[in-house]
Order: sequence, then structure tokens, then C-alpha cells
Amino acid sequence: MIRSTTALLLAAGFAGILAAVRYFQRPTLRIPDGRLFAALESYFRFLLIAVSAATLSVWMANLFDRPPARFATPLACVIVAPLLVMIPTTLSFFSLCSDLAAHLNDQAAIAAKLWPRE
Amino acid sequence: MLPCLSVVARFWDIVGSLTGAMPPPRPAEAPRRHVPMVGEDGTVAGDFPCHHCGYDLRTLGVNDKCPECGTVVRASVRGNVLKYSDPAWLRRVATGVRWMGKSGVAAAILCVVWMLVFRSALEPLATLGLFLAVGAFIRGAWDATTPDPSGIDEVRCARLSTLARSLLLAGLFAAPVSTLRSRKA
Repeated sequence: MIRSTTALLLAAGFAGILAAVRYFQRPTLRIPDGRLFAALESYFRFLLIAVSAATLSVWMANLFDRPPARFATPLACVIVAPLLVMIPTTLSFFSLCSDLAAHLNDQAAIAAKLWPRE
Repeated sequence: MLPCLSVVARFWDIVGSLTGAMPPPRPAEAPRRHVPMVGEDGTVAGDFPCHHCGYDLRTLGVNDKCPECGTVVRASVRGNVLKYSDPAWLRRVATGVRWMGKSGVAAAILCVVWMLVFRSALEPLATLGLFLAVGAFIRGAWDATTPDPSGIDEVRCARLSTLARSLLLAGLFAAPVSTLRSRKA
């Protein structure tokens, strides 16, 4: 029961990250330069595959006690590999967030010239 | 529509917004203009709200200021381009996105640490750290998914931001629930 709840909550969290990335595409549609939108689009697909594999891997690992000891080495590697893929996925998420934030700050600086001072 | 069909349609709507697939057709609703008609004399020809306060800008010149809040009219009439949006909203979204990036990396590192110290004396500490990092991620996501106060793209954005926020809140409790398992064992 606790194992299934953990897997379900984790899957919900991953789906939340996917939804947030999808949401970021909406404001980028309002920037004339389309490169950020395109970057988010390809990242979304990569993230979808990576988190699906990671969720499946966590779910598989949760089915058994001490999964690395139970399986043959190649199979254990297959189960652990999606979790390792999450490392570059996280790093590219960080760089994408930094780019997006820098872009939004640039837009905010331009907008501040037109907007009334509070 | 039958209740079960409406549930299926709603589900498909959510899946569509995540995968980019075409959503099912919606009932016709009054279209909302985001770019107003500007006459040859440079005045706003039709009813159009100020992006900042909602005052009707009709008959005002594009170089004038909104009489209610003082926003330059051209900031509202130039359409939905981001650089004409509310700068406070833009800064809030940018800060949220930055928070998400940093706390995402912190959560990933803590996740590895948590796996290494699983079922040891350090596990509660790692769980607390992971919980805080995910909490910071959600705080960032909350700011990053704040809807544009001008109401541009409101329908789609509101649905996606509600979905993202609720799913992330659910994910926050994955680590503490998992700790219950190790306590039980």
C-alpha cells in the first residue's frame, strides 16, 4: 500500500514538472524569437521519455526488497539506468530555467519603461 | 452530455494540454480581442481594456497615458507580446523559474543522498532536506505559473497552471510517505 502510494505520488510529481514545462511554452509564444519555444518543445519530449522511464524504474524497484541483489547484473543495470539519465535531465532543466529566467528579466526591463511606476 | 462522457472529455482535455494534441471542440464563446483597431489619427477605435487596470482606452491616442493608472496606452495596444506585459508579473515569473531550476538540482542531489543513506540514522535528515528542496521547487512553480494579470491566454494557462500546481503538491509527499515504509520495516 505504502509502496504503491509512493510510486503514485512520485508519478504525480513528475507529471507536475511536465505540466509546468508545458505551461512555460505559453509565455514563450509571446516572444518574437522562437528559439526558446523550440528548445522547450524538444526538452518536453525528452523529459516525457526520461520521467516515464524513471517512474517505471522506481515502480519496478519498489516491487521487490533489495532489487539489485535479486536480479542479474545486466537486468539491475537496466532498472537503474533511467535513474542515471535523470542527472543530465536535471542539469538541462537547470540551464533551460536559467535561460528562460534571463529572457523574462530582459522582457521585464523593456516593459518597465512603458509601465507606470508604483 | 452524459456525466461519464463529460468526465472522458475533461480527461482528454487535460491529456491534450500535456501532450500538445488537439483538444476536443469547445462550445463557441465570445472572442476576446488582444489587438485593438487603431484609427488613422492614432486613437483606439473600439472598446479595449488597459492591460494594467482594465479602463476602456477607446478614443485615447496611442501616445497618451491611461487616465486611471498612468500606463502608456501603447503598452496595452501592441498586442500580447511579452515585452508589453506587466513587468512585476514578468519579474515574478522569472524569479519562480530561477527558483525551480536551482531547487530542482538541489532535490536531485538530495535524492541521490537519500538513496545512499536509506534505512540508516541519517535518513530522516536526508528526507527533511529533500522535502524542503521539493517545497522550494513548488514555491518556484507557484510563482512561475502565476497567470498574466492582463488575462491574455487566460483559459489555457489557468487550466495548465492548476494542473501543474496540484500535481506538484501531490508529489511533495512522495519522500515522507516512503519514509513510513522504512519505519514499518
